[in-house]
Amino acid sequence: MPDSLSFPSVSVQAPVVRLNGLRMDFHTGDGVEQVIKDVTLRIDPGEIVGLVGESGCGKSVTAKLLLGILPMPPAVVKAGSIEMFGRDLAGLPSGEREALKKFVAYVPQDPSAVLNPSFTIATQMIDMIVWYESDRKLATYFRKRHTRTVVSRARDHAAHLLEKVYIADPEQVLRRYPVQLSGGMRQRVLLAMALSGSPQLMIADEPTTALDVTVQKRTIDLLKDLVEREGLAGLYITHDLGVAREICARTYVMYAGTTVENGPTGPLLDAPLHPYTRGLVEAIPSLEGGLPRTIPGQVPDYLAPPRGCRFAPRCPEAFERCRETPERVEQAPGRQVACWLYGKEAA
Amino acid sequence: MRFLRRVLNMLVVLLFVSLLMFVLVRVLPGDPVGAALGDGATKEQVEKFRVQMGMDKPLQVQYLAYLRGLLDGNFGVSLMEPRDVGTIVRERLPATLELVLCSLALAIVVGVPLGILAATHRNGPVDQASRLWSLTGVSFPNFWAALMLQLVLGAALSLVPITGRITGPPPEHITGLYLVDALLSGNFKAMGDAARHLITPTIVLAVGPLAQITSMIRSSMLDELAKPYVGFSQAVGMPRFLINYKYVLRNAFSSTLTLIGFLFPLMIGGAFVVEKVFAWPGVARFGADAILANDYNAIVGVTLVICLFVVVVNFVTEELYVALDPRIRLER
Repeated sequence: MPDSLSFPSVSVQAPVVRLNGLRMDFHTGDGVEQVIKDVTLRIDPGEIVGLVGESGCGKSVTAKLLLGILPMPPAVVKAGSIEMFGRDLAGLPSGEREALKKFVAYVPQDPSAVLNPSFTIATQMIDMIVWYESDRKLATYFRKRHTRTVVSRARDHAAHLLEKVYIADPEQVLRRYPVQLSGGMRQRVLLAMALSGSPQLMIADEPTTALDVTVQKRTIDLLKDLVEREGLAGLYITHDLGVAREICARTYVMYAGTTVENGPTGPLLDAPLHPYTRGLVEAIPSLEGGLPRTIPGQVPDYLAPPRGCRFAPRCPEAFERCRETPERVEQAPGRQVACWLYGKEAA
Repeated sequence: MRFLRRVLNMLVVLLFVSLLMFVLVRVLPGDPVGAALGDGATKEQVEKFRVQMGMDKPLQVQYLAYLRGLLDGNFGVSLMEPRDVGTIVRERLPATLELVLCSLALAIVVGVPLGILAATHRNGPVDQASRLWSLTGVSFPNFWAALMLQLVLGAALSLVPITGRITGPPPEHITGLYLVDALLSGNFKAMGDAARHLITPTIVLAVGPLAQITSMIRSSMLDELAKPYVGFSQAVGMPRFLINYKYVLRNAFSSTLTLIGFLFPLMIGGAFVVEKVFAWPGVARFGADAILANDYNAIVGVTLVICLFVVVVNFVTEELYVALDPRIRLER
């Protein structure tokens, strides 16, 4: 039913997402928070990219930006560019920005909270499906939403989507209210919903943190399977490096609003370059027991962030030079790092 | 079964209210017989009247007799006009209902959209105005607003009549609600007449409830707008209109529904003053007069009928509440 590829404004060859040197400030009551300093990130078609880092380092802000739900203001883009599906988002009319959302599948953090408690799964899915077919016109939507044939076709489509996420009895689930479903079931319903547009990019913001461990594993497998089958690109945000290794081809490590290191996930985690990445890897609890090493200190105050490299105050290897902001250098093919320890002029 | 239990519940409430009111009016100081017969009545006349009204018997006997009367649909004779209180209430009830229902409708029709606008355009002009309005609206004394409107709209501008329910002949009696009766019998002259009379008292009675509904809708909409499902709906590209009016309003409305259930009895209370000021021939004015005249049967009768309405309205709001919120429905 979806006709995504015929949609004129979406390019299938260009990188799905390209953030280049993005800097964003937040104007709050306390002053200007310089949250995003330098985010550079690329997602190619059909590729799952991980974004890892501590809480409060700007991962969710990046996700919200790409989802188009970051309120601007208070957020203001100060520098850099945001491209999605080959289109520059700066200066894109809001209607066209909204239209792009149809191509983005969103898998949120807490499946229990994002479903509306007052409506059945069927209502919520049919609303979405019919809206995506309505060319962003409310009048068209209301006419279609009250046309029996359209609604029953949308319902069939919803059932079909639920089958795609291996829900055995879609009709039963459609009739249910969110409270009547288990956490894992809700997450699957959300995955099905995510497919109801004509997605090319899936943005998953820690989709398994709210689930218990056994369900986590199954959800991750399902997600991987779906992305592969539907040929989606993906941005997978997590603080769990193990999960990143399992599903992300490439991974970006983010610290205090800067993508400090990126590369193919395996090598990146096996031989981390940036001291922060190293700290993250060492912080993984090992099976042999004992307390994992932690990175001393905490994410900086964005109202007055440190000059130069923002990790320097916590970095065991910091030296004089770190007061200046390090360039991002290509250390190995596809492997970039923003740290004064590397590059031509490295000591 | 659930329905039957509810009805039984209501009956118990009504019985308790009748007992309370019956005893209360008699315990409180005041001399209904003197008021009814006038200052010139002789001792014999007073005594004869007391026996006639059954006031010479012990309280419990009087109450049982009253209850027996109620079963026959007999509310006792009013002292103000020598007729059965039930008949008087039946005649006057539609006037009050028409007034209260119109006010409630006005408060809902204006208050709900205003609250939504205030919440969705937070700190915008509509929000500021509605917050100011909520504060002043709740603190306006009814009678003062009534007098001012009478002065401005009625006396100075002559836009609306100052008092009464209708000037010309009333429409054919069908429901007793003039607007409805006039519409049903196609008597548009009477309809316009009745509507002109209704405007000012309706506005006066609606002022407070409107302000309360607006601020309730505003605050519960703001609570709901902060919930994750709103962000999710935005992220998947659902339109603002649908999010606000379908998803959020549905969840935000239950608390307002409860409020409306509370407002209904409060508005009947407000009608005691408003009907008095506008010489509205309703049951609330009758009740107000009855209190001033210490008319035992009238006070108890009016209270019982109002109580009946309150109980029924509460029942209806609760049912609506259940229909609106599947989480309550599912727990049954």
